[in-house]
Amino acid sequence: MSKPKKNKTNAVLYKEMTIDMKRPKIMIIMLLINMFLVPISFCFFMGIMISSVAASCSYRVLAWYLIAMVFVEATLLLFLTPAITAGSISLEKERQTLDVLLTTRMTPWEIIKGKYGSDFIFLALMVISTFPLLALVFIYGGISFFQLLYIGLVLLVFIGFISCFGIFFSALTKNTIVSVILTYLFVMIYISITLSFPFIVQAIIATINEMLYEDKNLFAWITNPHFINGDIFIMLGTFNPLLMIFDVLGNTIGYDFGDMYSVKGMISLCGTDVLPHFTQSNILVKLWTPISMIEMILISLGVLKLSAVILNPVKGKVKEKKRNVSIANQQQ
Amino acid sequence: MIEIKHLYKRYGRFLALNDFSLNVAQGELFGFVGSNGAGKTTTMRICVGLLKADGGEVLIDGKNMLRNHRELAEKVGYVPDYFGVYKSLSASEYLHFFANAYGIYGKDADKLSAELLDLVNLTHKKDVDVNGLSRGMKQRLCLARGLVHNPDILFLDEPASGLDPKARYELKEILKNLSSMGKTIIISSHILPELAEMCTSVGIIDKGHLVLQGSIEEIHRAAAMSSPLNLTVNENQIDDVFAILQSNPFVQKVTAQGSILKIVFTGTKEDEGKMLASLVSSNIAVNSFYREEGSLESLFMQIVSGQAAAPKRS
Repeated sequence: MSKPKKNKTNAVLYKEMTIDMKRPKIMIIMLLINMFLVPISFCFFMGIMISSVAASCSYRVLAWYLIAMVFVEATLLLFLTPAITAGSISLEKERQTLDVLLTTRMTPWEIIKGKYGSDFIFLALMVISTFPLLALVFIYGGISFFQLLYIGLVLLVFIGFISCFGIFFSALTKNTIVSVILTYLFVMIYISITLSFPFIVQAIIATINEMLYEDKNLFAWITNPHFINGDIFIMLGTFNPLLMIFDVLGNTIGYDFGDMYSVKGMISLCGTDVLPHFTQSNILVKLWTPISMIEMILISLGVLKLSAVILNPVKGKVKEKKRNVSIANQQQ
Repeated sequence: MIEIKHLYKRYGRFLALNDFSLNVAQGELFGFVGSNGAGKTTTMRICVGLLKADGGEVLIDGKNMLRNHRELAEKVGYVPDYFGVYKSLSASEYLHFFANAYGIYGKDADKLSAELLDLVNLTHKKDVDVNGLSRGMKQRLCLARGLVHNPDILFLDEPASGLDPKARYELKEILKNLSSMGKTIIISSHILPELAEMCTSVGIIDKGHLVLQGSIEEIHRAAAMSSPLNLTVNENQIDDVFAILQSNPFVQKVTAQGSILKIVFTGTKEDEGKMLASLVSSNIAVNSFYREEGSLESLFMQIVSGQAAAPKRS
C-alpha cells in the first residue's frame, strides 16, 4: 500500500458537509422552519393590506413585523439548536465510532471543531434560508440592508452560543436523550438567571443600602456616593443571548419607539434616576450588542475547549513510577 | 518493537491489569489469549491510547505511547471488538472517511479505498451500505479501516468473534497475508487453538497478569507436557510407587484409578526417563508408561485454573 500526501482538512467536517448534508432530513427541517414563519409573515401583510384600505399605514408596523419574526425565529432556534447539537458526540459514542476516530490522527479538539462546525453551518443555513422572509421589510423601508445583515450576524452568534452547550453535554454524556435534556435544562436556567440576576442584584443592593443607612428612600444610594453602587451588575445582562437580540432590534428600529425596544430602553423604563450611569452616552449602553457578541464567542470557545478535554481519553500527564509504587503497596 | 512495562489498571475495586509486562518483536503475528475479563481489551486500549493506565508504560519503537500519541497513531492501527460503522455510508465512503481522518483526500483516498477493498475482498461491495454487509464482511471492512494509514502495527481485538467458519478462514488468510507484508499484528482471542493456527507466538493473560509467553512451538511443547503421565503398575506395588514418586521434585500431583496412576509431571523428557529408570531399579513392574496427548485447550484451561506450571519466558 502506498503512503499518499497528507491534507489538513477536517475529516469530520468534510464528511458531514459532503455526505450528511445531502440527506433529506436536512431539507425537511429547513422547510419546516420556513413553513412556520411563512403564515406569520402572511398574516402580517394581510393585516397591513386590510388596514391600509381604511387608513394610511405607518412603517412602524413593519418594524413590529421584524421584531416578531426575529423573536419567533430566535425561539425556534432556541428549541431546535439543542436538539441538533446535543447528539453530535453522544451519537458517535452510541455507534461506537468515537473510539475509532480517537485512534486516528484526529485530536479531540479537531473532532469537536468538525462536529461544531457542521452543526453550526447547518443552523446558519437555516437562518440564511429565512432571510427572504425578514427582507420583506424592505418593501416599506425603514431598515437598511446592513442593519438586516447585522441582525443576521447576531442570530449566528446566538446559535453558535447555544450550540456549544449542546456539544459540551454531548461530549459529557453517553446517551443522546440525556444530553438533549441536560442541554435544554442548562440553556433555560442560563437564560433565566442572566435575564433576572442583574435586576435581582440591583434590588438586593438597594435593600442592603436601605438597611445599612436606615434611609427610607429605596434609591438613596444613587445620589449618595457612600452607598454601595450596583451599576456594574447590569453588565451581567450582556451574557444573555436574548437581551443581545433585544438590543440589536431596538437599536435598529427603536428610534421611533423612544428606545423602549432596546436594552437601554428597558433600563430607562426603570427611570434614569434609578440607574443614573446608564444614560445614552454610557459605553455599556452604546456597545451592549458588540460586548455581548464578544462575550458569547469567548464563552463558546471556552466551552468547546472544555468539551475537547472531556473527550480526550488520556487526560493529564502520566506519573508512572509514583503510581506503580502506590498500586504495588495496595497489592501487599 | 512493542514494550509493555508493568501496566496497572483498576476499575473501581477490580484490578484489570496487575503488573502486566509484554514484549512483541517486529513482524510477529502475536496471539493474545485470555478468558473474558482477563484484561486483553484493557491492554489493547492502553496500547492504542484510548485508555490511561494507572501505572506502567507502553513503548512503541522506544517512544511512550501517551506522550507521543499523535506521532505513534500513524504507526498503530486498531480494530476493536465492535464494528463502529456509520450506517448511512457505503463501504467505499466509509474507508474514504477514515482516509480523510488520516489526512488523505481526493484521488489518493479513492486509490487507497480501492486498494483496501481489494485486499479484504470487498471490491464487489464497495457501493453497498455498510449496514447491508454481513458480519464477516463488516469485520473485513473494519480491518481495512485499521489499515487505511498503512500502519506498522495492528491491534485486533477478537476479530473472529461471531464469525462463521468461512469468514474465519478468510480473515485468517488476510492476516497471514498482512503478516507476510512485514506488519506486526497483535490479535486477541479467548480461544488458544484458533490463534495457534496462524500466530508465530502467543501470550496468555489471566487476571491481568501475563502467565505464559512463547513461540508457537514452545506453546505446543508446553501443551504436550501439560497432560498427565499414565503409569500402570501392579496394584500391590502402589504404595511403593507413591513413595518413589513423592521423592521426585517434578511430580506435582498423583491420582490413582485402580492400578493406573495419573502423574502431573513438570520435568523434561529426560526427567521422565530418569523417573521411569528409578521405578524399574526399585523393582516396580511397570506395565505401561505414556503421556496422554496434550491439547492447547487443556493447556489453556490448566493455566487459567492455576494447575499448570507452564514455562514463562520473558
